[in-house]
Amino acid sequence: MSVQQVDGWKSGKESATVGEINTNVYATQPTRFTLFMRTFLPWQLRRFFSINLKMILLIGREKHLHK
Amino acid sequence: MSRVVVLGAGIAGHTAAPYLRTWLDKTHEVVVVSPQSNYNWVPSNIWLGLGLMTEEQVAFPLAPVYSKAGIRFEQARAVAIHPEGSADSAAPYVVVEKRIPGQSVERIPIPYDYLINATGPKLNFAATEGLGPGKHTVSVCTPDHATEAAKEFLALVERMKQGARCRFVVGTGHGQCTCQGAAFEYVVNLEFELRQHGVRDKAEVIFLTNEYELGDFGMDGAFIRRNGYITPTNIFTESVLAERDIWSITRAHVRKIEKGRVFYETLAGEEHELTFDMAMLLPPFAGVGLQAFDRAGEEITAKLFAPNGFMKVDADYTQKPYEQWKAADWPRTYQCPTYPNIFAAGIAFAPPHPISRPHTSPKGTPIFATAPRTGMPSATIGRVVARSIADKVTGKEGPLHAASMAELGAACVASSGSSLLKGTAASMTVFPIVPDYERYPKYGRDLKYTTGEIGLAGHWIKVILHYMFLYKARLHPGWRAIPE
Ligand SMILES: Cc1cc2nc3c(=O)[nH]c(=O)nc-3n(C[C@H](O)[C@H](O)[C@H](O)COP(=O)(O)OP(=O)(O)OC[C@H]3O[C@@H](n4cnc5c(N)ncnc54)[C@H](O)[C@@H]3O)c2cc1C
Repeated sequence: MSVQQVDGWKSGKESATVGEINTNVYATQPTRFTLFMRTFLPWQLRRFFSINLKMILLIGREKHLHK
Repeated sequence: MSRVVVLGAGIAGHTAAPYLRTWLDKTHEVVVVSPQSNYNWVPSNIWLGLGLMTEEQVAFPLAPVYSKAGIRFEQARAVAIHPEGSADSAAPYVVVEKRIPGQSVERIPIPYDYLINATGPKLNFAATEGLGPGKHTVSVCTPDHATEAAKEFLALVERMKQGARCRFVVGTGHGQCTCQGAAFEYVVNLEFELRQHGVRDKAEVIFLTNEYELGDFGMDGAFIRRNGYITPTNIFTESVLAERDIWSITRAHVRKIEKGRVFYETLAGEEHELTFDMAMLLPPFAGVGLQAFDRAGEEITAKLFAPNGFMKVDADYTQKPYEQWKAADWPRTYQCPTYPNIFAAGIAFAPPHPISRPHTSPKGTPIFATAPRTGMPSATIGRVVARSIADKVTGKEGPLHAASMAELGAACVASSGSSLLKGTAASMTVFPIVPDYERYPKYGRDLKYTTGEIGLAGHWIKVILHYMFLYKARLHPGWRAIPE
């Protein structure tokens, strides 16, 4: 976790007693390939069907439980 | 002839009423009571709150839909339940307040044979000084609120185009909030829109939350199997914020808001403040404040409702520590234990306890996410309760239908940028919603059905869901084929 005193940094405001702010610099970051695949049409079309199928299976599982 | 009265026309009530109408013949009456004339598809208020949709796109008038379906609609606010009737008659009834145009508010009794309380939450802005529309922050909980939020956002965008620097704070406005998913969705969409408007470099965006860790979402987080690891939602959520340069403050209880300034206490017991140009902070939820009276007119509200105003149902409300919480504590049939012809559906029922581990600051302030009841379980519970009542009315023998949140899954698609080719959304499924450590000892959930990923496909699904659920809510042909 990275901690920074932010008030007055970018927005030029008067300083206030800001506590710990996580600037998330040590967080897991996606690679350029991952970012590319997120909007790459052929892959996303495939994911579209796959996510829908997953949701249908989830609903199917519920219906089976609550019959 | 039986009369079933449904209080509330939100996701739960507006699911229950049409199913009841389908399952009961016309000798029985279905009545819906709701103070709003419109149905609102709440999840799309996120887009309304950034000027990406209009109010007409997320809401429509209920009266013509109910009139066509053969459902009686009373635009009124329920205020009291008389489950034992009055001194004159043992027939139970509910008192509603109706605003007659040009006159004062009139109180009308509506007798019922079965009652569904689907009144959702009271948006409890009053819990935090200065919180909410008309005060110092905006909200996206209702179409009116979201429209105001959009106006404020777009005005700031214009100022930034003129060179101003602005700070946006988005999150939860109290230590006992739920619905962090909605706040998270708003913050990432807001950041995306700042980029679309070409002013991202002029803005600081901060996510301020009462969650113990990012990704808790009031369901104690979740674990997802991905790329050879079983990873907590905390990691994914932090990553989503990191790649967008959105900063975060967790474990925060907002205790006061002044113009452009939020005062908060942290779980460590420290007091801090933060300045802002625009803040969208969600309120904590409470029950809508229905009262109850016995036949003699004595108040019995505490018999039907928990202290937070939500209705007690067939849950185990025994106070016990986190380690002793069980999936079996959660209600299954949503029947009121004292009056079996009353049910509660959606947010209106009292959860037995939170799902996330409770935490208290050294000053004794509880700071943790309370239990969410999202759209999918709210609608499923609405349908299941309707089924149980329809069976009772038609004399079918057998146990009531059940839908415990410890046996229900939920699918949630959180938009993270609205554009048909460049947008993305996080698509998540969890099963079950309430972790069951007896069935799934290590992670509390079935990892086969607990999944998550971000991509354009999620955005397409979110858009399709918007149109599909509004189609279903308008009761257009084939609406029953669309799942909840
Ligand atoms: C901004 C936002 C975004 C969200 N996004 C998602 C999402 O993407 N996915 C998801 O699953 N969930 C989402 N949710 C949660 C979802 O909206 C709720 O789970 C759902 O609306 C709960 O349904 P409900 O019927 O219990 O309550 P509501 O939908 O709130 O309906 C309550 C109804 O009761 C009526 N009412 C109130 N008081 C009275 C009274 N005294 N008498 C009679 N009627 C009364 C109200 O007018 C309303 O018609 C979001 C919530 C918010 C605020």
